[in-house]
Amino acid sequence: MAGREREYARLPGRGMRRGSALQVIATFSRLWLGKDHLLLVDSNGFVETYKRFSFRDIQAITLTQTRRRAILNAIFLSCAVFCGLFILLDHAAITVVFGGLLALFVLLAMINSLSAPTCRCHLTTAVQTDELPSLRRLARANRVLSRLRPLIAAAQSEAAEQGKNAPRVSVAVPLTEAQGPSS
Amino acid sequence: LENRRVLYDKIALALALYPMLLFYLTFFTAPMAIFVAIRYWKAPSSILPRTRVRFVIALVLAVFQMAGWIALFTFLIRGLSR
Repeated sequence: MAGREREYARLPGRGMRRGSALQVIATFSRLWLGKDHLLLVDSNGFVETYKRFSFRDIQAITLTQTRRRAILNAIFLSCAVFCGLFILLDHAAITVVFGGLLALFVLLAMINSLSAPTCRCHLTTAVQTDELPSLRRLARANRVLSRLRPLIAAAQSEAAEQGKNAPRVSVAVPLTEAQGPSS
Repeated sequence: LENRRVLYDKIALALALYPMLLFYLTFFTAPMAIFVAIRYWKAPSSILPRTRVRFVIALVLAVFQMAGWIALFTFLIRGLSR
């Protein structure tokens, strides 16, 4: 168990995979840091699926700022205004219920506004590009990337060193009849 | 390299916990939770650090639920036999 605990360190953030909101059970993603790779864990609560990205294979991690924060704020504030209209009815029970809901939506809008801008993060290797749903806030994504950058640089410089020192192998390709000189 | 694991401890806990909302379902789900917890106690769980605490909680809850059902049936049978 102790060996297992040392194998992976959890990176901050947890996010729902896009499109899974419409499923019966949503899929949540989390990132874990291994010795020589990044582990992306998708979990629907009962089954976990894993994707490993070796530091040597990572070609790019891209961040794109999105308008999700503004959209969320608009939704929360619209709901708050809607609840406010019910308070105007001036009925004691309705005022208590919708007053509580109004306070909740205003609080959510405030938390969302105070949080960092939203973004979308993609990781690219030679064979695939995958979204990292756990990195949907710019500040958190930058924090994680600042932790990953030296590890990726070290792994790739080590790989480059090994490639430089490795014996060169040349492969002779036999000419086919079509490519050969006409005689 | 494995790329998928089933979390039996969460299944056992869900079987013990969620049916408590509609308590009569626990008559069926409590034995199922105990079966899953015992059958998959040693099954490989997540590749991430994880304890067996969910299995233990599921077992404790399911045993209490079964004890409740046994007590209820005993009470009813004794009441009818008088």
